This record gives sequence, C-alpha cells and structure tokens, in this order.
Amino acid sequence: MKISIYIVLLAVMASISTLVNAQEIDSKDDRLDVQVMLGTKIGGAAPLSLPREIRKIKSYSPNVPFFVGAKANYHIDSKWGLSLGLTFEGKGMDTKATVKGYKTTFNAVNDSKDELRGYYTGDITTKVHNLYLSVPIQATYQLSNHWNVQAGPYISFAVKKEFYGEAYNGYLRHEQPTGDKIIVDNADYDFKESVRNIDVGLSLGTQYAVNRKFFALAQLDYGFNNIMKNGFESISFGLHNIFMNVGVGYKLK
Amino acid sequence: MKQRRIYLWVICFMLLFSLGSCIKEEALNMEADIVGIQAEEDIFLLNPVITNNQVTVYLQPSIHDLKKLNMKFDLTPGASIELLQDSLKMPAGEQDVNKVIIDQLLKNGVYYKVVSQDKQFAKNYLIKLVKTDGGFVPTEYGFEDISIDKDEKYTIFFNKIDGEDFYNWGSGNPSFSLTLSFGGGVKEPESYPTKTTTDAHSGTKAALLETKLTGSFGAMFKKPIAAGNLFIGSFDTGPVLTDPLSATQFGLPFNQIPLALEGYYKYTAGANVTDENLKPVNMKDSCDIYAVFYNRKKLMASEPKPENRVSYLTGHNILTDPSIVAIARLENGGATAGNNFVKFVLPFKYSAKVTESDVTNLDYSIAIVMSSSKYGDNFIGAVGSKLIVDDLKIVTQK
Repeated sequence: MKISIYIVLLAVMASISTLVNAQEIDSKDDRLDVQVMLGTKIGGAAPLSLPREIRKIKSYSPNVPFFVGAKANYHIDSKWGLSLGLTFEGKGMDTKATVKGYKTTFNAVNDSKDELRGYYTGDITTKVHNLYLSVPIQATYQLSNHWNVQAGPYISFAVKKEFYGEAYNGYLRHEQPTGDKIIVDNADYDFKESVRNIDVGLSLGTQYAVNRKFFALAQLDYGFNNIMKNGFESISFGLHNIFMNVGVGYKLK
Repeated sequence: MKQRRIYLWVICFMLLFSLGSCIKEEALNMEADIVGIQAEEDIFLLNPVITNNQVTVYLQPSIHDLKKLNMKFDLTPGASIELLQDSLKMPAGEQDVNKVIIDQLLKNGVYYKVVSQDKQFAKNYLIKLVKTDGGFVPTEYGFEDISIDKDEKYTIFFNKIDGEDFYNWGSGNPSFSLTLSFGGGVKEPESYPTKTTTDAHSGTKAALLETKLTGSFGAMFKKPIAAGNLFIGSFDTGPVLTDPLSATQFGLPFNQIPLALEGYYKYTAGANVTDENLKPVNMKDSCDIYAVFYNRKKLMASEPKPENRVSYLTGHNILTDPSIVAIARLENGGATAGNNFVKFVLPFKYSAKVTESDVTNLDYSIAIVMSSSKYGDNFIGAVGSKLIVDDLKIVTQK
C-alpha cells in the first residue's frame, strides 16, 4: 500500500509540473493560470442524517485529514471560468458510537457469504482511512478582487481503502430482535473489500486572494454515492463522504 | 454585500450538515423479552430459569395454595404480554379460567405471547410452574420425550411423568444454530450435535450426542468443534462467544441422596482429535458421563454479592466447586466394543458429609453431564465421535 501512495504522489507531482509547463507555453495567454494548494479537512463517511439506531456519538476525530493538489483555470471572461484539477486526499475518520437495534452482520474476514446476522445493541468503533485521487471539474465565478467561488462535480479513485472497527460492550439478537441474545465483546470487523473504488460528488468552494500569489480556500465536498458497494448490508444506511476542506494555495504565474 | 452573501452560503451548508447529524428520537423497542418475574412473597426456590422462549418457575416446597400466586412479568420496556388463548385447553364444563391456567402451568405449561413496544415483533414463551414439595428432578430417563424448537429446529429433551412435563435438560444446541446460520447449513434436528436416535436400549428412542465441526463460524471465533452435550440444567446463549464455559448452567434441586448413576451407552470415537486451532492432537477421543451432587445453599452463600448469586455450577467449576459433596464419573470414556449397549454403574464418591434433613429440605442440587468429547468444553475432540445414552437412572438412598 505504501508504494502505491508514493506512486500517486509522484503522479500528482508529475501532473503539476505538466500543468506548470503547459502554463509556461500559454503564458502569453492571460486566460490560463495554475494553482497549487494544500490543506486539511474535517468530515467523515457519514449518513445523510443520523439514523435512529445511533444513540450517541462518543467520540469523533478526523483521520488522514489532508489534501494536496493542483488546478488549471481557464478564464472565459472577467467573471466566469472553468477549472480542471487533480487532488490527492485522505478521507477518513475514527468514531466511537453507541447503537441500539442496529441491523448488521458480522462477517468472516473478506468472505461475505458466511456471516452472523442480527440486531446489535452496544458500542461500536468505526475507522475509515481512505485515500483518493480526485479529479474536480468546476465552474468558477469571480465575485470581487478578493473573492471567487467554485462549484462542480468531482470523481475520486480510491488508492487505499481501510474500513474496520470493533463491536464491544454489547449484544447481538440473532436474526431477529426476538432471537437468541449473544453477548458481543471485542468482535472485529473489516469491510475494506466493500468500499467502492470510485466516489462521485459535488464540490462547492470559495477562495480569498490574500495577494496576487497566495490565497486561502474553503470547500465542501459531498459524495453522491454510498461509499460502500451495492449489496453491502452490514451497515443498513448509506455512508457518504462529506468533508469541509480548509487550506492555502499559490498561483503559479 | 457580496462577501456577506458567501458567508451566508457557507453557514447554510454548515447548518444543513449539522442539522442532519442530530441524534434522532429513540426508536421504540423491538425486543420482546421476559427479563424477570416478580412475586409479592418469597415463593421461588431459585431464580426462575428464563431462556429465550421458556420460563420455568421453581416454587418453594411450602407453596400449596397456588390460587393466591401473584406473579408479575418484567418485560423489555414498553413490551406487553398476553395469554395465548389457544394454548389453553379448557376441559368441558369447566368455567374457572384461572383454575385451568394454574393446572396447566403445573402440567404442561401455558404459552404467553410478548409483543414488542413497536408492535413489530412478538415471541411466544412456554411458562411452566414446578412444585417442588415432592422432589422434582426425575430419577429415571428414557429419553423418549422430545420436542423440536420451532424456529431453530433443534431437539429438546424433556420428561413426561404422570402427565406433567419436566424441562430439565439443557444442551449446546441453541449455540450450534449460530453455526448453521453462519455457514448456511440446513436447520433440521439431525444437523445438531444433540439429537435423538432410534438405536435405543429400550423404548423407541435414545439420546445421541455427536461432535460436529463448526465450520467458518468456528474458524472466526476459535471454536472449531462442538461436542454433543446434554445436561441437567439450562443453556444461556449470552456468553457463547465471550465465555462459553459459563453458557452451560448445570444442576437443579434434588431432594434425595444419590448413590449411583446407572445407564446404558455406546461410544464410537471420531478418527482425528483436534484442538482449538483445529490442529491434530495425538490422542484418542473419549466421552464423558458424570453426575455432581452439590450443596446449593452453600454455593449461593459463598457469593457475597446477592445480584451475582446463582444456583447452578458452570463449565468453570462443575468438578471443582467447594460446594460439591459427591461426584459419580465414568472412568474410561473410550470406545465401547461392538455395537451393543454397555451398562455403566457409577457410584457417587462422597467427599463431604451430607445431612439428610438438608437434602429433604431441597438445599442440594444435582447435575448430570454427558458429552461426546471429554475435552469438548475446551474445543478438543474428534469430529464424528458419537455417544448414545439410554435408560439413565439415579439410584437413591431409600
């Protein structure tokens, strides 16, 4: 896995330099500029609204909360523009929650055919550490000298997938809420095989130009699809990548 | 102005995001359990034995007037309970429903239906009262009476004596249903480790215990085999994953002094003994048949916390607890020769004195334990080992 991260980083670097070269070629043309940016993010693989089965969120912390990327902007006129980017980013979180009557399955590792189904009540940890290579395509609009906004879709390719956790201090009702009661403690699960390779979503962001070169940025990314594959039933609700990015950028020009 | 508008957008998004993330109102309970039984007076000889679909209430020997019994069920919060009318067999001409209920509670039991708070789930419980003044653990077992669990389809052994049903036998079958669910096995009585066979010494049936592979479920939880077991007591599925030795709750009150455990058995050992990692172990499998007589009052008094007091022994202390006064055990559980039943007579070896009046007062309990693999409780045994037992008898002091 480590190696593939390096490959991705190299790819990002290479793309940035390509963009920079492209920018040099077209440097006479004011219509094109290139930005590089990096920053941190907060968010998670979250249900659109918390299902009733979740009774308490005991702890939450972002994990792998970073992004680094580059964007090429094409200015159609003084207000409107288009941008194409490439971002390497982590979308992850560590949570501890208390659930009640949560319909789930405990799988044998990486074998979805053999599973213990039922309704779980108790504590659960969820650790999601996914790394993506994302391509955002955005429309940009210049609001003022300092401010501009961007919006548009993105497509993300998972380069590293981690989704695991533990059920503890709880019990499972076998098959039905009226089924046999089985105490569950330290039961591990690993769902990484069920994480989708592709995530599609929409971004909405804004940039504030501090000066001609540097800018600050904030962007909300919202994933349209459930990050888990179709047919995955161990979590009864869809999980969407929802993240707020905050960072800084530099205009190469 | 424009700047302010952007702030507003961001704030709107944050609000949407956080609003959607609020903890919702708690859903109504889906569970429909009887979790306890309350009575105004001290009418219980021991804590009622409550499984997932059966409740057995052992009454104090001094309780005679059952019409005054005032019992209340503790249920999952919000759940409701009602008598299943069609489980009540009203004799012709009988008008007094309460009398019929009590009679039937004592004889065959009465079904009650518990409905969950959200009304989506319901469960039937067989409620059985046991009067204990005459001594209530039968002394002879032909293993002729069985019932099949409605949902999981495993065999349950009970005893019919003078028209009254005694549910004294427990087995690990309820936990094996997890294996069958997990590996997609067929849920039928023959799939389970503890079942019945027509290969009987007398009558038409005998108990058949067979050591089984637990497949991928066992691989996941490091419990690769399940020995067939049958014992006086009850089985609690709660700790099967976390502490399986405590899932077996051995022993019920007994008011006679046991002298010997007799019966007929035949045993064939499976070919390859394996350990908890399913690694081969160089030994022959053997069965286990034993009975333990223990001072239940002493056992309960030894636990300082009232809420932790239990009336039964478990896999942790069934042969070692200080309250044990006598053990009768099959010395050599190896394969029996030929295909014939072999008689065994196991004398109770007493290690402590027993006061007869205490026994008569039901201070003592007895446990009979049988297993198709002697070390099956530690997941050591041979798949395919088969123990057949019939015509078990506790010989008592007259």
